[in-house]
Amino acid sequence: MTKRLSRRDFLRLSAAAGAGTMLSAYGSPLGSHLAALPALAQDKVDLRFIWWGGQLRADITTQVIKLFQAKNPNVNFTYEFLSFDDYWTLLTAQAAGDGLPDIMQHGTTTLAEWSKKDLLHPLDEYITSGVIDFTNIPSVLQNHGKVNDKIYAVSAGSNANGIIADLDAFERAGIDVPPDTWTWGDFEEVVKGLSENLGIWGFGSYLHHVDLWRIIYSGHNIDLYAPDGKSLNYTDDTPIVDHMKMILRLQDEDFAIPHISEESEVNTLGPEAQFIVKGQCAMDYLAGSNQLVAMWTAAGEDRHFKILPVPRPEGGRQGLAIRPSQYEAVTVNSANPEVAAMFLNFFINDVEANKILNAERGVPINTVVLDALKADAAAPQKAIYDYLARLAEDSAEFVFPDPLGVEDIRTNVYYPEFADPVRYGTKSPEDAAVTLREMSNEILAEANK
Amino acid sequence: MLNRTLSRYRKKIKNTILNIIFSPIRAFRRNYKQAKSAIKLFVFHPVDALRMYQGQLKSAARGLIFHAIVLAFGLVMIYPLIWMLASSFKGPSEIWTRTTSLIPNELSLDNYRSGWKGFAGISFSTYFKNSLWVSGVSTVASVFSSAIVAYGFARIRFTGKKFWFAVMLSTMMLPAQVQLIPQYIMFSKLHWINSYNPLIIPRFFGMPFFIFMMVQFIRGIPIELDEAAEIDGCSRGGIFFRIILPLIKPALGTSAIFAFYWSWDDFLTPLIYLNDPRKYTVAVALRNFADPSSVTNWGAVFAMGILALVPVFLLFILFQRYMVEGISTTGLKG
Amino acid sequence: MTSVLQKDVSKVGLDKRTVAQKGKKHWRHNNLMGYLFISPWLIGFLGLTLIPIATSLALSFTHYDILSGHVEWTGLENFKRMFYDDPRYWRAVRATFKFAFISVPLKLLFALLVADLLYNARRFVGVYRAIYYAPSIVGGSVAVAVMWRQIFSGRGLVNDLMLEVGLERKLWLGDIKYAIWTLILMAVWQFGSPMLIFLAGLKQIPNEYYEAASIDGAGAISKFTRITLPLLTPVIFFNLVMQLIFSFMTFTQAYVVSGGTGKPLDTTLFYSLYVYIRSFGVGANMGYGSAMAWVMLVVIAAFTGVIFLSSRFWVFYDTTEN
Repeated sequence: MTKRLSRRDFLRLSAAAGAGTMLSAYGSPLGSHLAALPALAQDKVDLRFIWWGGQLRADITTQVIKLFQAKNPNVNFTYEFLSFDDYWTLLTAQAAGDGLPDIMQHGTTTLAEWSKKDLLHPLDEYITSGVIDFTNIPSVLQNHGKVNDKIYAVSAGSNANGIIADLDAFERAGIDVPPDTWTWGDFEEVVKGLSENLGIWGFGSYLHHVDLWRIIYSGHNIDLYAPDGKSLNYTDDTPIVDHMKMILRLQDEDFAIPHISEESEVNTLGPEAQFIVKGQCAMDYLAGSNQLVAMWTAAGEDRHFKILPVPRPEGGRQGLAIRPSQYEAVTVNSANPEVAAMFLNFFINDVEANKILNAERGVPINTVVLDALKADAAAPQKAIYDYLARLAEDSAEFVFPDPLGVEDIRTNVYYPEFADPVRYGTKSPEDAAVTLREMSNEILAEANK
Repeated sequence: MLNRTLSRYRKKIKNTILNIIFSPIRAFRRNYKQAKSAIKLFVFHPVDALRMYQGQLKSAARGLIFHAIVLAFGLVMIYPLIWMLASSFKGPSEIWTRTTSLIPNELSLDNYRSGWKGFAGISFSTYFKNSLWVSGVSTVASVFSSAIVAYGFARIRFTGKKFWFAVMLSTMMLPAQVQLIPQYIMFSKLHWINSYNPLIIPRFFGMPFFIFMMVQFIRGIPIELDEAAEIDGCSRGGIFFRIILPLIKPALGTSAIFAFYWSWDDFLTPLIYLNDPRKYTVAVALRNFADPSSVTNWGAVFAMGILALVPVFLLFILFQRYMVEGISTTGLKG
Repeated sequence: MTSVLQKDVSKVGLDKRTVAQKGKKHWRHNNLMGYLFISPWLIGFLGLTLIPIATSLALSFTHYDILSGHVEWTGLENFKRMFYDDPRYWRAVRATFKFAFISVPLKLLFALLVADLLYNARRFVGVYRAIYYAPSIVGGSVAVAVMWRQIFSGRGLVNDLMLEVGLERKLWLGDIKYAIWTLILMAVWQFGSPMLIFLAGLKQIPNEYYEAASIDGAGAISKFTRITLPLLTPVIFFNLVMQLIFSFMTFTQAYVVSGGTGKPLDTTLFYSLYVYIRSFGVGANMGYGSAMAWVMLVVIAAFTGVIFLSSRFWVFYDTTEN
């Protein structure tokens, strides 16, 4: 209440200051940026960083911020962290009021939209000038943040969907842990076997997860979205219909997976409540490999888990792709984009910082950093590194980020019009698949005009 | 003077708390004893007993039934709260394994200790201070301004009254979700972002809910009172302050309870408008505890959730008593 | 601010007495006084509320992309889409109506009965009031959502009780028939605020009425129906209108209990939740959300209008005003 200078005035002032520093920075020879920007050393610079996530992420991220500040005492950080839904409500309001923070977090479904609508600051100039150092980052991963030939964000870590397997349960059931090349047919057998032998569910929740839609088609060598993003890339519903039919068999005939009404109780809850954590199933869906850390922490250190890839279709290929778990991006409202870029560089390339972050946001994209972390990784991290290394040898490649409209399809079409009614038995898989395809095509065409 | 008032309130709060704990037990016991002795007599000397104790028997039994029913149903009502309280003392593993038990294995204050620390070096004492300031000012401002407006709507005939009243009511019917963005843009143009202004200043202009409620209460007061006061030479302002305000004390008390609670419980406004975690209110901080993508310290969530209820509850108890002791219409009418 | 207002009020009040005889001037004076008294609200409305409300009305005829700030006039397109082309919309309407029309009467009934029960000056009513009001102050926080889910979960308290009395365990939260009932129950459970308002209303009923009735030999029930109910009608009216509005706007409870998805199968997809999803989701069209919100306003206003029109037949004021 006593603050005389509003944030807005302050921004304007610091914007002026920022412009000055930019000029002097361009005047100086390239290459001097990386250590510390000499022109910036004297000026006090404010940075705001907002991310979504829980307590663990908050704690480690603030530690990294402090580490950065120790090396750059002129940077004054403010930060906020929120749950995923609150995060987007807040950031949307801030976008409308031109009050975005300097650095924000993004997901694969949001990055394209925010870049195309000019809310993010392209990073190419900083990559060229070396403020952001891409030397040790594989080019595939560099391009994950590319929209319309400009890089708008850096991946905060690599991820892949997968299946978390309780190794102790497999042992008790006397069933071999399946190889990475397993098919959906094998999957059904294994799930039934586990369920029969153990008296628990063979597989837990989200066997109808929206990501599987893309992975299943990818297994048939079809990327879900047409290259121009204006439609889906298929007209044959069979793969997804077959998948739903398998789910219904497992759910209603074999009782090898929970009924959807049972599953719906835990879907939006934290790791503590998940079936696999509570020992109620032998395998469970993992929307991102980085979630293994939280799951394993909740389950207890004495348990043993392994991540398996999602099965492939009979005669098909591995449909999974390595993807960014999330991005960090600089917004257009940033008064000091260059300093923000410096922080991003620190975030992805600094070994010390990444030892604190410890792959919580996904596997570090910098190979040198990754090697340093691998040396003394704990069991969950080790399992994740191992999984992504296996996957790197045999995986599909998706175009990231997703085309516009995908989030709309996920929230308003895939679950409410397709997956949920099919699992509750109020729609047949065939009819629902037609609805899914038609509505999705409509949305994609409209959004990517 | 201040000290005296403070100590009086302290005593009041202490008594209230003690009362809460002991009075239902006492009440039950007393009525039970009465009923028991009466029943005994009834069994051994039925005719005499009937004659002698007819009145007492009836009232004792009625009291017993009243307290039994109210208490039993009350326990069902607050079971979830007791569950939350019990969970706030449980260890991390116990919360989810022994979910239906209300008695923790050990009474540990760890959850309170770890929860109070808050996040990233900002403890809950900061959040509580912020919340108390915001909610305190909001409550006083909204109750008082609403009363003034309510008087205008309830007692004065003026052109456009019905229109404005209808407009006021309809402002409550539009979901806040669609007003959020235009409002944010407006407040950011006023340079109100990252200040408490968006949380407090709107409350100075009255709140439709309270205005409507007080209008209903004022309209329940006989208009002869106003007329009598007018004949005695009272101005409109005088009538409002000397007649109306004292008479709608129950409504004012109710409004104060609601105003404080709504402000205290609101997380969306502070979430959107405050950018500095040091300015966060309790409601925002509580919400930040839980994120489905990571392991949550549920014990701490429950512990801080319980603490967050304390100010609201205390305010309720204070105003609730005040409301009961308020001057009734009859007192003035005579 | 308030002291200034008070001074003005009394000054104008003095003027009033000298001109009271002349009708026209009296009317003008009343206008002045009326607007003076409602000025706090009016200023706030014109200065702070009107702009966002008017903006949202204008936006409901557009396609408004919050992120790019791009606004495109689309006329009635949003309304057409809502009524003819959006299956989720009608599910939201159905869920909201079901919730409102079941929970409001139940909630008011409980509130009135408990208020009447806890009004009489017995010694411990204060404590009982606190107990019955307590659920209403826990609101829609994360802790409450977790607690509520825990109680109704597959292995929660309610199912334990069901097994105890020999019934089958039910999946309350995941079952498309029962899920909404857990929210209705939650709403009824939090009947504290109308209860408190009823209590304040009961407080205002002059004791003489009851004394006179006792002398006439009236019983408890006839006192309730012949004195309490009629004299409480202004407050019942208020509670009815407000609870109806609130129930149509219920957001937080549905949001936290279903995780903001309206699951299972959109049976708890309340209207404001859907407005929120449509306004704030990625790639959302705020114009569409606004259009939905304004349809809701019209519907609630219609209901409120009907209640207001009917009020002359059943609401009794002690004044001759209006």
